[in-house]
Amino acid sequence: MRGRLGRKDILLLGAAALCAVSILTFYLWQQTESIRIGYETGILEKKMTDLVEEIKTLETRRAALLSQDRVERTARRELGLTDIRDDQIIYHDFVFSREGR
Amino acid sequence: MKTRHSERSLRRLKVLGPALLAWAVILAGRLVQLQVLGHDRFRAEVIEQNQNIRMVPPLRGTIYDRRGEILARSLPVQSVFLSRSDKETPEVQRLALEKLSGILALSREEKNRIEARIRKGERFIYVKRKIDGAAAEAVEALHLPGVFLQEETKRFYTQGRLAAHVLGFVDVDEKGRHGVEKVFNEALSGVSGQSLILRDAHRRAYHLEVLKRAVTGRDLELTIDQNIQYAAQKILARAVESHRAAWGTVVVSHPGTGEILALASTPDFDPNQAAAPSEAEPNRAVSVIFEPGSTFKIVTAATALDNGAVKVEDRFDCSEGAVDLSGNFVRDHKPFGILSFPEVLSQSSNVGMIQVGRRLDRWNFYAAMKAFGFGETSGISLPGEVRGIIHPPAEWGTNGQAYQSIGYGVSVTAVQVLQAINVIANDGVLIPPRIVKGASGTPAAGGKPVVSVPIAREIKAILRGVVEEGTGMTARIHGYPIAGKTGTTQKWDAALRRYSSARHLASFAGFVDTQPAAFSMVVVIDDPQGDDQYGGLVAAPVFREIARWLLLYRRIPPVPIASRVLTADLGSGGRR
Repeated sequence: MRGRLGRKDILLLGAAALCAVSILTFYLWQQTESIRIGYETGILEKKMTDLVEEIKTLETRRAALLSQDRVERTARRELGLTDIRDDQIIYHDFVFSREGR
Repeated sequence: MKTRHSERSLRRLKVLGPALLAWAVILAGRLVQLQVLGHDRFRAEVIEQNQNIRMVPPLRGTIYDRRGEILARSLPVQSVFLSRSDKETPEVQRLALEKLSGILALSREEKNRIEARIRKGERFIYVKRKIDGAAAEAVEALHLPGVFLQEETKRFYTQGRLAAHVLGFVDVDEKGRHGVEKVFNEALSGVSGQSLILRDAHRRAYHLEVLKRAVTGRDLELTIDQNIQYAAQKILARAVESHRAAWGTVVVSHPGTGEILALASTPDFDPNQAAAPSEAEPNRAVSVIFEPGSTFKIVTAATALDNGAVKVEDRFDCSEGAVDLSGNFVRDHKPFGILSFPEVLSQSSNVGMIQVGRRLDRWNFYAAMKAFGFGETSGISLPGEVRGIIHPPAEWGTNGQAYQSIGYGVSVTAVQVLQAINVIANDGVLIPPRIVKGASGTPAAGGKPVVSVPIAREIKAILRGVVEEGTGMTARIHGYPIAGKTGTTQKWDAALRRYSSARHLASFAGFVDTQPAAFSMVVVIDDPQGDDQYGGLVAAPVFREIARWLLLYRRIPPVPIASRVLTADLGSGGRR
């Protein structure tokens, strides 16, 4: 009968094995979670960077679209903006000299 | 039983022992091979597979106008490059290039250039730099072996040609090559960063660690107002075109601070297209010199009054209409008779001003020119600024002083003329012009007295007379006190070795004489064609048009001064 383990020994061994498996499982879970959070953080950081870039791009695009040259061209071509005609300006007693040096 | 069992165990141990030992030795040997002998190679391979240390390009600082509007900004874009591993042949690169050429619209020249580099066996070759987002996505979707995208930044000039000479541009590597982009390149550039990316077996990034944070370049706020710049640029371009002139430049400033509100030069360029300095038209406001002619009479007159060489009540005989300078006759455009000192300036009489100039001590006159800022760069923070030319009195000869008193024999830039008119506008104090706000290294506006306050005010009053009833009447704006001086310079004809009677440079320098002066401006138009070539007919109207727009824009109310009336009728279109 030498070598046979008693019930107490079996329980102790089982508990030790369970403990080891639990620790290992926890370690694996923690590692997996850490990597998963890493993915999520990476995705969110990328999203944030993209959004900041998008804001800057939109601001730049807005500035380009509102550039005076573009606005004037649009106003002239599409909305019919014209310069003041000479007959719309009235000059009173305005002396125009050709002697200015 | 016990003995037999022990003997059997001993036999098994004798067989298994050496086997286990051999296995252990083999394992240990292999471990030494992997961990010690091949350590560096395998470590490099692992890093290559799982980690990627990436250079993070810094974003170049944004350039704003004084109202916070974006004038230039860098945005991230992608560049496509070929990178061949040991296992890939040049044929793989050639096939990739063939597929990319359509998406990237590569020209025949570009393809030839890349193919030549593939033939040379180069491992890293740019296919196209700074492509748009859609093209980058299309390239990525192809999943071509050996084809990669690299993140870079690209400079966008939101207003196109607006203030191109001030802004300048950057080259393909985002290095400033012109304008404030060049002068403030270091501050705008920022510092590259580094990040470590850990990847899994599927090459997906699961961890990003910033090893060195990229430092974004500093933003720059210019003193330019894009609305004023637009008006100035447009009005100038129209004048240059209508007079079929060679070039023109306008600089508008706030005299009290020296801040430049607009700086336009025609012809101009589009900074979005330019990449090399040769593609930029020179900034004629700071890098082209010319003889100022009559606008320089402001310096002569102010110095003569300040030194006590003349008094306001003094009168000058200009009845001859010409002065003989060793056989060269300097003429007025008509004989004036006897003119008072203010009339000499308001009628821009060369004959009278030469008499004023002759009363000045040479060294005092020279010192005054220097004090007004001539012969020195203004420090405006724009590249290519030249000092101009003023000669020391020892080199003047017999008639040098006479010529210089009417603005010949000296060479100046438009910004120097503006600086000089600002001295008068600022009651005799010189405040250096500046184009950038809030950047370190920019000289703070500091005043340096050049002429006394009463003399400056006297000159102001005379310059108002120039516009009210002198040669600058075309700069007059009803309801506003405008002070200014016209200039018409005959251009030197190098072939004939004399001044041309057909080619001129027309200029006008003036300011709105409110207290303090609202703004000042210099207009220079080179070689106008046609009948109108005088400063009063070519440059002063440009001043007037820009000034009128600017007064409305800045909501500066008219001041009650007795003057002639100009009204506009937008409704009926008829005369009232």
